[in-house]
Amino acid sequence: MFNLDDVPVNSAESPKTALTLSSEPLLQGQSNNNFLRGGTVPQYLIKRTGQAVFTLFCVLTFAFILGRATGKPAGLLLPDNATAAEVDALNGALGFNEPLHVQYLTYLGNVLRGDFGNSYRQRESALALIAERLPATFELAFWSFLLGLLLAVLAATAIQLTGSRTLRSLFIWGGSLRHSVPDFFFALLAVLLFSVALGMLPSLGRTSPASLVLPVLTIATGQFVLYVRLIDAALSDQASQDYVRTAFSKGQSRARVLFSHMLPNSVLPVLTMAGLNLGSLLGGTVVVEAVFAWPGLGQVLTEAVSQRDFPIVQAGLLVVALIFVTVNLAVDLLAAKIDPRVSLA
Amino acid sequence: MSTTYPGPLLSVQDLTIEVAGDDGPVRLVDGVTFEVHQDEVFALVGESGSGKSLTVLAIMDLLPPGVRIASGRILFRGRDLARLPESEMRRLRGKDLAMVFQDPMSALNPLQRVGRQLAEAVRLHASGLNRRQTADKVHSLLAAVGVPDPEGRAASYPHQWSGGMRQRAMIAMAMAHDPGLLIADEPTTALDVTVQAEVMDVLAEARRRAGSAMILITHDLGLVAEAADRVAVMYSGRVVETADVHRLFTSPAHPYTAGLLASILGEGTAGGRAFAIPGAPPAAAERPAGCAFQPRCHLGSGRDECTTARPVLTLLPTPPADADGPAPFAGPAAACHFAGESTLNLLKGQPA
Repeated sequence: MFNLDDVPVNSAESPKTALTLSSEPLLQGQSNNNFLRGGTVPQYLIKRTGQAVFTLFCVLTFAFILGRATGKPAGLLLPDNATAAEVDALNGALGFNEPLHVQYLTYLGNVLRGDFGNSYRQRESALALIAERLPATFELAFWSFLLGLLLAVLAATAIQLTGSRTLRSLFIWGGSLRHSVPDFFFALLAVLLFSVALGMLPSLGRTSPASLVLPVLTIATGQFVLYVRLIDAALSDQASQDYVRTAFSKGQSRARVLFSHMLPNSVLPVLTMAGLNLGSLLGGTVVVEAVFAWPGLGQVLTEAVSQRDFPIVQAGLLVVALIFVTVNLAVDLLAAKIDPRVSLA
Repeated sequence: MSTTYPGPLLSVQDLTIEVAGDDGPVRLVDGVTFEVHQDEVFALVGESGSGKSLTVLAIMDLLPPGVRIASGRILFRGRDLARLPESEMRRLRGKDLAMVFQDPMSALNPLQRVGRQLAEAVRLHASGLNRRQTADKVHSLLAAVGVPDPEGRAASYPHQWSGGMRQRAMIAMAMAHDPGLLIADEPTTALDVTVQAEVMDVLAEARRRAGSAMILITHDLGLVAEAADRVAVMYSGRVVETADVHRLFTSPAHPYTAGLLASILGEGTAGGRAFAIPGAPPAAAERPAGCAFQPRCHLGSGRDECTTARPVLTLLPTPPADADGPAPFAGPAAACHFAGESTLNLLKGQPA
């Protein structure tokens, strides 16, 4: 007697991908509907690139509008005792005294030439300043994402293999508890314990691989419960599918059914959500970067916003948007690769 | 594994299956007893919810979570499957016991190529095979059930197969190791009417070639008459009548069996109204104390015995002249206090 899942299936809706399932069963068709051979991928990529360009254009425009709505930057750039004439002169030099539509068109024109301007403060190329922050952000995002997902897969697998409700409650309760503690507070506690009291790990900066541990731990444990719930729901849903019963009827063991059938088939519902999460991590984690003085995108962007350093804000937002669009495209391509029924359209 | 076990291949004895309900356990299958012999086709007939599928899932030890065997024995070649450890059971499943499910659209993993899923079944009980040999075996299994271009088909995904073809693949999978007992749970119900007969032929042929006994679950009495040797009729979790096909169709002893037969559409009903047994079967939790069929029965109305005492499956007198066809293994039996009484009226189209 096996009780793969004696808890009612979590009815979490699996997130829908933007792709369509081909509902029409092919009768006796000899066509191999693998999308890679269908010749649709180039067309699909062209279409998606067009959509991406439009998205990026919107982001640029919003960045411009929001930036201008907060006022002109010279007041913050000059010392407190600067005269009104000095402020006005600097604003003029930066182009802020032109009519708005002229500013906008100049800005768009420059961006199209790849010129985001120089940072008002550092007097260096804004794009270069953003680019030099990317490795730190990517490093943090990648390891946090991987660790959070890995822990969640292990936990969900353990729940399914043991069929234990206690284990499920334990993981979800513990994960929710962690999730309900704000990241900055958890981060401070971790610093107090591991850096101050035990002196095991560095608390600030990005100086050695050990500097990664605390920020990664903070983000990964925070995301853990989201993934556990998602994967557990997906696995429980798979457990009640007919094809799983078929696999058991062949004499397959519970562990093998879990690893060779249920887990791969649970990837699809998890993929979309995980992609969105990875995208937002890659866009910089403001709070965690601030607490650990991690020199990433989030840090440079918050600084730039508070200083009205518009070139950096605009370049940064465009890069973040580009990352998001790319990750989402990758997720959709991956979904089509995994599920033969998905047609790219 | 001896294939020459002297007793019946499968002997289900007083099998009771329960699920936890709000007011204690509910008996979904209540004291079911039957035997399946070497090389015979045994049909399990009854309405939806009568416990047919649960009974065979219990044989396979594939009951859904929360549903459990409360008592009874399932002797397969003398071994009690209900008490076999999972590791032992796994060695039987897919090898000596195989099952074809109702809905071929969902019974295959949508994300794996069909060939890989058959290979899984092949390799599980034949560890010595290499890649090439496994692939050859898969292709020959598919060819044997009439799948054209087995090599090409094996490399495609289930959604590229039609329903009838998928069910052929399921049959091929079940026959991978020539099982002693093949269980087919409404194998054609989910298919287009046009391919039902084809798939049934494929199933019958595959069974004959492997020399397997088969339990065929269906509510299609036409199919029973065509394909089965013996029949058990189930009603509300109990076997109400069991007999060889000929006897069941010509002289049903239980009023429920008679009602089922009378409700078949045929020449007699053309242009007129089809016969239907009045009422609906009771829910498992609300099964009456006496005979479960009593509220719907034309024999049972007003008879105390039917409302108070549960009728047990009792051997029926066999007319000595009944000698065509192979000798029945077990005599016909019915669970009715008034078995045989006036059931023939129903068959003549005169519901009492």
